[in-house]
Amino acid sequence: MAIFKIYELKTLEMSFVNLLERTCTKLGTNNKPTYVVMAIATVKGICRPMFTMMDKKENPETKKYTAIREGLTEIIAIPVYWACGESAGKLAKILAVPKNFMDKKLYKQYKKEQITPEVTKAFENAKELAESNLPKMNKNLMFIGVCAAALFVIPALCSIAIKPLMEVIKKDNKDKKNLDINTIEQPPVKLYNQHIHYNDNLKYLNSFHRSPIAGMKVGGV
Amino acid sequence: MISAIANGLSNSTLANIAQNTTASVSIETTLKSLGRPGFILIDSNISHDTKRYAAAKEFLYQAICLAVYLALITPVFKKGAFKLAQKTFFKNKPEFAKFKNATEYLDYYNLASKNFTNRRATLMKNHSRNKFMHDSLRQDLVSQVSPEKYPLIKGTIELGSLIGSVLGLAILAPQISHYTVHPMLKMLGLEKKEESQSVQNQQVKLDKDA
Repeated sequence: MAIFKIYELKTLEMSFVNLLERTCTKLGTNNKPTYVVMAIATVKGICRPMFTMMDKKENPETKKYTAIREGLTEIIAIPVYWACGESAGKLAKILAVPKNFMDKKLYKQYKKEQITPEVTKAFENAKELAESNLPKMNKNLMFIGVCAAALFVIPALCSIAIKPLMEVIKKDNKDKKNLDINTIEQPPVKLYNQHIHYNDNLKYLNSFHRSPIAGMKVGGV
Repeated sequence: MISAIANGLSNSTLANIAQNTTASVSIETTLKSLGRPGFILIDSNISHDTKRYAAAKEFLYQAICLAVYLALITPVFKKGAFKLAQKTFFKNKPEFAKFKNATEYLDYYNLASKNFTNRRATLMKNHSRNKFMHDSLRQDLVSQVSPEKYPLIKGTIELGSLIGSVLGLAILAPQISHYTVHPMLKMLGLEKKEESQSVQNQQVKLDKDA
């Protein structure tokens, strides 16, 4: 049994090391600039609202509002980082063409099909250069896309989207509160509690005789 | 114009930065620390004092994030990840035995990423004459057009940086800045003003109410 458990642990360790090796090799070959910013935004989206809610000095309503706001900001940020990075990276295919790596005159000649050995050689070189530069351009454009997302796109989108979203959440909360208040304000109908109009606290205890305080008995009550 | 942009975008140094977690996060944080306060200052809907206060607060927050990141996270996680992998997870991998530490590997990686002519020229300079004399690393760099880059080592360092970046920027830096930004703003005289202004506002309100 113990040998079986050791064997299981060894297999688990091996599979973890294999997974780590595959992940590291992939990161080493192709580390996209979007990975790190998305990872940071994900952890921020979880931790920042958590820290806000843990703050004991703050008013609970303010805490709730701030935490939702912080969470929403990061929820918006994650797909925006990905979309900006990937879409900017796609531009590399448009830019990495022989035309951009070739002398203009020679390219015009190539277009007009005035093909000489010089033009053919220049075109072949430019094609090779474009192909070899494509991955670099892809990464650089992705990085620029991510920077643009952090600087312009996310703040702009947050200022547009968060206010209406927060208002919707606030409105929902208000409606809920009103509903709660209505349900609380409706007192349960209990026949034995109908003496409430006496406005005398002692009488809530139900320890006194509730017949009219007058009549035949000697000494009042 | 477009061809100039295309040439600029095919710069290997920029590509190396884009693929380097630490460099890209540092650049991004620097841009944020300059850009965000800039945008706040441009905004015409806010009063002058509020703008100054918000811009200073944002700048200080981002600056603290960057300082914490560069001072603590990068050296610890980058170098730590390499050492940890070398001694535990990948101790049987021969490529890890070729390099003493992460700095030496990154130096090698930067040279291997350069084109053949530039690489040879750099290796011939005085300060690089005795570099990578072991494990045929220098020979690979000098003789091969595209030498081995050891992606497993690169990935290990990047994974360490990624974990460090997440812990540093999402957990540690906000906590540190939470305790340091307000005293710094007070030192700059920006927080006091806010307080005195709010007191003044309250007084005006009370006067009006009265």
